[in-house]
Amino acid sequence: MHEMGLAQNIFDIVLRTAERNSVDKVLRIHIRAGQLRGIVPEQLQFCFGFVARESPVIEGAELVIETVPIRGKCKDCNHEFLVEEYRFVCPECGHEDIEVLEGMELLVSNIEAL
Amino acid sequence: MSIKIQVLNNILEINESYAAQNRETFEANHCFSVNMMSSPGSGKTTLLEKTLERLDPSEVAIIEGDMQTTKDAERLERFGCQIVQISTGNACHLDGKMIHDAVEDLDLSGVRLLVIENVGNLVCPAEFRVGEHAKVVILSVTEGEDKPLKYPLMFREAAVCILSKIDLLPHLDFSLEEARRNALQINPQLEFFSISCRTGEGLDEWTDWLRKRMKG
Ligand SMILES: Nc1nc2c(ncn2[C@@H]2O[C@H](COP(=O)(O)OP(=O)(O)O)[C@@H](O)[C@H]2O)c(=O)[nH]1
Ligand SMILES: [Mg+2]
Ligand SMILES: [Zn+2]
Repeated sequence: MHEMGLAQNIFDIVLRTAERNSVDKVLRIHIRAGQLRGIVPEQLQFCFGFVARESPVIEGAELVIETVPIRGKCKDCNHEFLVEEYRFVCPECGHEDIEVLEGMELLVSNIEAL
Repeated sequence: MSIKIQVLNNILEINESYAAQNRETFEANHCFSVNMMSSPGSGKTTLLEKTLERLDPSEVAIIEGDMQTTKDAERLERFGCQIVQISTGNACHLDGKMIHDAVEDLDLSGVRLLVIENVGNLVCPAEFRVGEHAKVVILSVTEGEDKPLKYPLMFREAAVCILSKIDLLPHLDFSLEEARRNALQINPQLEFFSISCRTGEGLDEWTDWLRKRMKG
């Protein structure tokens, strides 16, 4: 259940942002979670709902989690492609050394607030 | 009217900064660090015991985080190396801060190898870098060959995959080849060791791998 720790971190980031921008109420929090992170949205939302009770400004805010598919780039031919079923092989040249461009991120991308 | 505020803040930022600090400490002490991870019971502590039999314990320090049994640290005490037991409570992983605090209780001067035994679980420990030089994932042959596909992040992040308990292979229909193929699909750079702590097979190759990195 590492989701609890992540929920706490999200809360801290959102609280800092809310204070800095003097918002009255946070409505929605957009999270970008790379597919490789294997985040279970329901678990993260559940934990966040619990943690968010610490602040009346954040309590009740909706956590919107966008799962970002894995995008790879072949280190040999530079071809960029969607890595499906965790198959880290270049579909153009068969090379197996693939840089992960997207799919590892875990960030608070933006918040909607009043 | 609601407003939209850009944030773009890494949720793991604090952990990453502890991990970076830890790495600096390891580098400053010329200490190679490995983070050992597996499902509960795959053989992490047993492998550590066998590893310590083959290395100079005064050059090794252990951070014990596996809470599956409370006996793990006791099993290693007889080697006389430095050991810190992290009491994670029921935490599912070690993180950068826990390792940072544990390292403060160690004297790393003269230590060439730090082994971190992570909590037995293939999901959460993969999420949290602790500053280690290498992640080592252990998959015992009593588990499924498809585990790499079920836990892609763990196998993607690992530098080494140890296929453990191979003495049991004659009694099972586990295919080393298939396990390797599945893991390589996720991570083509992965290095493999097939090991039995019962017969000793593969232990020399594994400890040679460590020794080469302990020179630094
Ligand atoms: N047959 C066999 N059993 C092993 C081997 N390595 C460990 N075990 C057994 O597997 C069980 C769990 O091992 P342990 O090292 O505590 O696993 P950990 O939870 O990953 O630290 C113990 O009963 C060990 O004796 C091995 O190479 N062969
Ligand atoms: Mg153990
Ligand atoms: Zn290519």
